Amino acid sequence: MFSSLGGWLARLAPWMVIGGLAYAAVFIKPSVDPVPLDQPLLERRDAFFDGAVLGSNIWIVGQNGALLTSEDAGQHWVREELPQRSNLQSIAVSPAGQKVVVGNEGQMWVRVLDGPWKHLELQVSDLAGKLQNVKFIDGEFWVVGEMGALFRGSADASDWQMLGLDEDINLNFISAGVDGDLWIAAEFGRLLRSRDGGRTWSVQELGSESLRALHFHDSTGIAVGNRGQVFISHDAGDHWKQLPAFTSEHLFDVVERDGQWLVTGARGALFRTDDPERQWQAWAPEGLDMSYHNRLLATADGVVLIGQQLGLLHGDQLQIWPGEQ
Amino acid sequence: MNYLATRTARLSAWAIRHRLLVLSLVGLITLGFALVLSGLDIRTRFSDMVPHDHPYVKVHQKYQDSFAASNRVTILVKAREGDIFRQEILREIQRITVGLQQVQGVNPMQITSLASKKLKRVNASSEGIETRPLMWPDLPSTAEQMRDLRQAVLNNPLVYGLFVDRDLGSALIQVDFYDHLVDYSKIFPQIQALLDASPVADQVSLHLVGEPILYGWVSHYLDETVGIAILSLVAMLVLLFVFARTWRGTILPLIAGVVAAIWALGIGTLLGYNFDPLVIVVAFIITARAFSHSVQMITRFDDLVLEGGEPDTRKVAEQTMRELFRPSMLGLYADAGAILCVMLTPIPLLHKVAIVGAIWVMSITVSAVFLTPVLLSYIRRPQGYAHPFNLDGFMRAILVGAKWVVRSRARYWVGPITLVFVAGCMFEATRINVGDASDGSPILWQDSQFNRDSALINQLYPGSEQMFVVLEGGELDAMKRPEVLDWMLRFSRYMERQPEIGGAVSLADIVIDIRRNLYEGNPRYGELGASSMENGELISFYMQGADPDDLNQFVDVVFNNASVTLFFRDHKGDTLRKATHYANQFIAENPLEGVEVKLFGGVLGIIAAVNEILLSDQIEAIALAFLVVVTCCLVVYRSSVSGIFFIIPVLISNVVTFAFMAWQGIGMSISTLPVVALGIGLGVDYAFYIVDSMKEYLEKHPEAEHLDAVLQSLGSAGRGVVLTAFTLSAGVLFWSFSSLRFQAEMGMLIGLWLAVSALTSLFVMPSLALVFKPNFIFGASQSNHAPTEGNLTNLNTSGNEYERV
Repeated sequence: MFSSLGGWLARLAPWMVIGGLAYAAVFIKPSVDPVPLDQPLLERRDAFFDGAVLGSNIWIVGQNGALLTSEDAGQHWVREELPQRSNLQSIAVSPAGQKVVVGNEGQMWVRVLDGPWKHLELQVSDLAGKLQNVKFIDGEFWVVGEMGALFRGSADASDWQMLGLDEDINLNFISAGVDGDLWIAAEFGRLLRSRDGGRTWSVQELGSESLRALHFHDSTGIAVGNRGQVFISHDAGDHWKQLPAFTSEHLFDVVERDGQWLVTGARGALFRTDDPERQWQAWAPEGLDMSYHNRLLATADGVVLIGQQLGLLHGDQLQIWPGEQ
Repeated sequence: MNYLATRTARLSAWAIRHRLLVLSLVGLITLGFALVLSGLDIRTRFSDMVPHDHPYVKVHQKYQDSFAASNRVTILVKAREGDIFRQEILREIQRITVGLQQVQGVNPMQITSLASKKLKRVNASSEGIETRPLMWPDLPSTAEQMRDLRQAVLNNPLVYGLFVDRDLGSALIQVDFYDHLVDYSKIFPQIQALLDASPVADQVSLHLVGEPILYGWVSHYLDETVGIAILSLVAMLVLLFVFARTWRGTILPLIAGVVAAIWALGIGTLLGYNFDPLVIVVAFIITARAFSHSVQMITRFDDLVLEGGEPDTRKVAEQTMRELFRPSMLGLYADAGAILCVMLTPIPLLHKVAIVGAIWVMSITVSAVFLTPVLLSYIRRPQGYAHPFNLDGFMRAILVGAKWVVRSRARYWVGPITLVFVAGCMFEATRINVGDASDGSPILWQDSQFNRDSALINQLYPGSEQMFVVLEGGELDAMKRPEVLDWMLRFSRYMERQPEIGGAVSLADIVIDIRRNLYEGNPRYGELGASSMENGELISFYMQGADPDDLNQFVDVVFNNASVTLFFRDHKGDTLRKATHYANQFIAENPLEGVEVKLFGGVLGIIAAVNEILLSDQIEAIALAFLVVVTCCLVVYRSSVSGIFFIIPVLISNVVTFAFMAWQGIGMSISTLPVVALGIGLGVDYAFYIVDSMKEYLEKHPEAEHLDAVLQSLGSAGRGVVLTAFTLSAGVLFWSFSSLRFQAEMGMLIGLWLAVSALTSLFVMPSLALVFKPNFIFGASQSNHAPTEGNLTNLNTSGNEYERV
């Protein structure tokens, strides 16, 4: 019986092979299933605009809802996308860990420590509602934006008060000055100053080009703006003087750290000096690209450079972030 | 079988009896086809490589006049030191840009460089956006103008990074050619001459890539290719002469090869086919087959002469033809059938290769199966030698090894060892890549000028090769809708995650850049407008001062259809398959209301289409080629077992070759597929001769022992196998000196194929035949060891009785 079965199997086997080949010819179609394209830490199109530092924690925000977080002074990073993936313009963090992120059309996200993000919407103009900058100054959050938008928020970011200037002017940047002064760098060369916690504002016009940022160290303040304009004040902002132009590029930010002043801006513009009245030197540390850099943040380790490229300026070098990529 | 044998005997007798008529007919037809050959068109045609019914190709053809560049050439002008913003270097860019207008077939509207009208500087002013050419018609003449140009380049993301590298050390010039005017053999030398005439060669290095340049290199090496082909043919003939020691053993295979080639190429020319230099390897394989069949005839003729003492050469020639008609025709039908399976792949080049290849193979039936015996019948001194050097010992050593295997118990180990070896090779073979498997072009060597230039451009720029997806809106201004532009940005962002994609560009990138410029160059405003109207206004700003066709690359004039162009760093099969998968995935997960997204256009779109076809059809083509072999055997031997038995050598040679391809990184491409299909037929030819010789012997000597039949087969047909396999393999080694990597690799592949199939037919098939004793071989035997088909699996355990010389 077994030999008969074997015989039949031997007879059938060739036809099974032939049938298998015919089946393969007609029905087997290979397919591909590559690994998923997960969200990388950085994307080529990323554009970052602002950051915040608290101890060794660093946060950086940018387009497409991107929020980068490092808990070890930039050694390792985590990326998250805020809901709606809209463009995030600025971030501020209070000493208690309250975070506030602002974006376009009055959008705001707030978060305490590791709690969930809470979405708020500030009332802004229908014509233009981009919120340009948020800062935590003297126990309160301050937000500025298009169409003269100005908001003050409580320390827990739950209560927001509109202090709008009711004017079609783009408020670019808000900063603390000397003796509790508040300063706003704005369009048309305007520098706004409040000595009473934001209730009233005085305006100084420094030329006609937009001012993009300012920074005070002791009583010395420097404001920077479009077309390479730099203004300096040695008396806490009472008087401003324009410095001779050392670049024609738009300048987006200025910072002081350990006695050295740095400014950055469009097309790889990066300058530094120990004496801001005199010689500003172009600085091109290895790795610096020719894209824009929008923000300089002084930290214990150096100055964080934020723009299309991220990195840490320390000594004469630029350490590109994130290092693991 | 008797019917077939009778017909074969009659045919053989008729051919020899009317040998003059046969010779005259063949001679006249050959002469006719030779005259036709003057019109042979030797060149590569882009349209031949395009599967015209594939959806990607339809997208490409529909939009090739706007979004695509089928024949793009990219020239890199790289400063040897510093950046490009120097008079001498910018003047060189201008010189090349102007000079390109004189190149044959150029589309003058598609020359893009810093010195052309197409690249613009975008300035925001109180009146709006001002756009004007970056460096046309005049070069910057002052330091200030030079600085302005530099800033304008940096300010335009459609220039900075895409046409000027991010370190400002180089610039690209791109040019496209009209499809119907493309002649690779002219474009390449004309552009090369333009670059060679550089007056600032000490200050810049010039680099050149693009499909027309690649095929220009192939044309450039045409003389060398023909030279190597002739050299290897001469080498084969010399080796045949040395080993065969007769003029007939050298000249008759040459005649068989030449006649078959003239017939096939003549018919191809009459059919209006061009001859692609890249498929010269296929021509070479088939010529080698002609040699091989002719050599088998001559070897059998010599054996019969030796057996018969002082014979009548006409009778011996007739007997040779009669005895070898069956295996020869079986091998040729299997070869022709296998290569015809390539026709299933809907690519014109493969259709032509399949048709001409099948005709060529079938021409061998005339040139080797008929002509060689007819010419042999004229031999006057059949036992004379042309030279005194007898190198028979080399061949005898191999045959002694093969005979030892079948005589000893080693034959029982052949099956299991082969099985393990094939399993190992099969594991490696699964890694074979469909499409190109390496960076740069697999047609040229990795260190070739073209591939080095390609690598340099891919290092400095997002990628020298492109494909695009099309968004079809179905209504005017559909492409201005914010959600449509946002989709383009998100799609670009998603696709750029794939490491091999260097970047993407679309209308949305232009819109966000115009908006940024409008807001004092503030990067925070690099965003889309909130409405179709705002986006339309932004585009209108851009078009002030621009030429009407400036946006053609991105969107049509009524903003109904638009493209997203992806830049690739390589065109490996795996890269394109992943890109296709990811694009489909994104489209499925992100539907866009009112807009249909279509994949893919551009040169890489076509390559992706070809790869998809090869991937989906390769199993079909290979399985059907196997079926052809099985069917041929079924018809000739009337035994299903014969089909399976002869699949073994095919399987071994294919698996080994695929494993070699995977190991060497040779991808399965439009160029390699015909070689693979031919290899299926190639792998079985030798086995046909060996096995049929056993069968023939047993039909003549039914009382003979099985082992005697096997030993006789190895001594006769085996000698022909060793002779042809060795000489052909040695001959193809010359291909490894080719400047075209593809041809060198295919040469190695053919050599390997020949060697593996020869070794299989000498060392594996005889042992398997003796161990399994299939009835279709041993059915005629009256010895005690003749099994029936029903007990094929019974092993013969009385192998010791064969232990005699």
